Amino acid sequence: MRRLIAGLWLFAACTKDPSAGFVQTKAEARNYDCQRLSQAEAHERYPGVVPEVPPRGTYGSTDALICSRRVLDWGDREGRDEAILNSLGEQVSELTRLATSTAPEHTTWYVDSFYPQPQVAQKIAIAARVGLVERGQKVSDRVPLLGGGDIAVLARLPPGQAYDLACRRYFAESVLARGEAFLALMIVDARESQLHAGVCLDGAWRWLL
Amino acid sequence: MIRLLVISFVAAAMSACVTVYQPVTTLQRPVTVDPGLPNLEGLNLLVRCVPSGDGADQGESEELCQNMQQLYSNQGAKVETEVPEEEGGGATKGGFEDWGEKAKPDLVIELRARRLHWENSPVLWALCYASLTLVPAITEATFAQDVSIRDADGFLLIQDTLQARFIRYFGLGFWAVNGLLDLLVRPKGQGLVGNNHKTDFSRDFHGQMSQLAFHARMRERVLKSFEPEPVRPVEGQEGGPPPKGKAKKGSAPPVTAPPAPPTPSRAPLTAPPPPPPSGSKP
Repeated sequence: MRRLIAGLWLFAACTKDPSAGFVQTKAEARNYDCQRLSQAEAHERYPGVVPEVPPRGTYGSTDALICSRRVLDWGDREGRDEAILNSLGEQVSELTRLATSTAPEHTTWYVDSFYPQPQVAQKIAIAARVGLVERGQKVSDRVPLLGGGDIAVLARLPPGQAYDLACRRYFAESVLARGEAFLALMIVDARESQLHAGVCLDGAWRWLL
Repeated sequence: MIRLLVISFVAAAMSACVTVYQPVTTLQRPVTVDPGLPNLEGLNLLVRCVPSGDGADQGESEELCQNMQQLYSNQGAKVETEVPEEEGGGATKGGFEDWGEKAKPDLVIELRARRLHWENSPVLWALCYASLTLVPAITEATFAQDVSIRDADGFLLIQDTLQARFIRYFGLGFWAVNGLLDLLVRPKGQGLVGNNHKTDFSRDFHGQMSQLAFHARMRERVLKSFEPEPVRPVEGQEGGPPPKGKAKKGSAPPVTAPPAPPTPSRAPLTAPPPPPPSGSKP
């Protein structure tokens, strides 16, 4: 009898299944972010929804598929922006962790991001500033700028040379001084959806990731 | 006549399967590389498909490696494949590899499949047969594909896990209703009956694998501070890869634009690598 009830329950549960079916299309089903957890872990996180593991074990499934509907559907934003923003927290956290390990304590940080969409670039820069502040760093709101002549030259160089030269110019023009570091976050190829970063410190450019 | 009808019904019922594919983790992430373009031009890749118990046996691993070879070859890479005899055999595990007389690859892509979940209720199968397959029997499995990409020295460039869930409904009623919905209601590309799950999974998987390989390539270049890549003459041609274009962005250093579209002849991709649950595995 228990098996029959379990089977009927499983059948009824299909109506809540996040996969495509009678009630939702494949495109709609893709807008769920899911993860599979053990029943014990799922119960710990969602005690009202997932029952506790019985002390004598269970028959059948002992894990749970936890899904949440995305706030913005895939496709609402441009693909690269979506991919970057979707993992912005993790990417920026990793990059700021690496950045802080390159500079001495009490360094003042300047941050800018180089990304084709200005709105997304701004979000990246703000996330990096917040990430640095959370790590106890002193962060300036000011963005270091170079003159028009420098920009004209830099724009013609490939990224490998442009950032290095820009860093030297920042220092030569006293835009940055000793004890100040510039963290730049960027993509270097239009086909990428991952962020790279480099640090300009004492006139020397260093790629982080 | 009745016997013929019964046989036809049984035959129809036996083949009445609908497999639904659902991307679980990262497979639905947007892809910004076009797998049809030479994103990996001039690279030497080693693709290693490690067989692992529940996830992929030796044969499936070989099929996966062949598939990846075709995927990356179409993007301009020179691809070697390797399927270790058993789990762990010949795999990097992050250590230094002695390449000996073999050509040192630029990237080593290692794939390991795992089966995370398997559900197949005997009660539902009993109900299915008792109702002449009007009540569907449901078999569900979730697979994970662990991808790690290293350089030839074993430095880890990219690590990711792609997860997919496959739900197979067996039953004439379910199949017939979905067939009708595909025909009359669902827009093109949203159908569930037939091999749609394979097409969808293949598109997602190939897209993500292309993106990961491209990211690894870019990360390697950045970590090496854009050292000039060694010029590898292509067969029948001289010189290296074409120079990349540049895009200007405000007062910032430039973000490079994608290279010009290539025009090499490319073979079409074959069937997707890991098959959905077939019910043959306990």
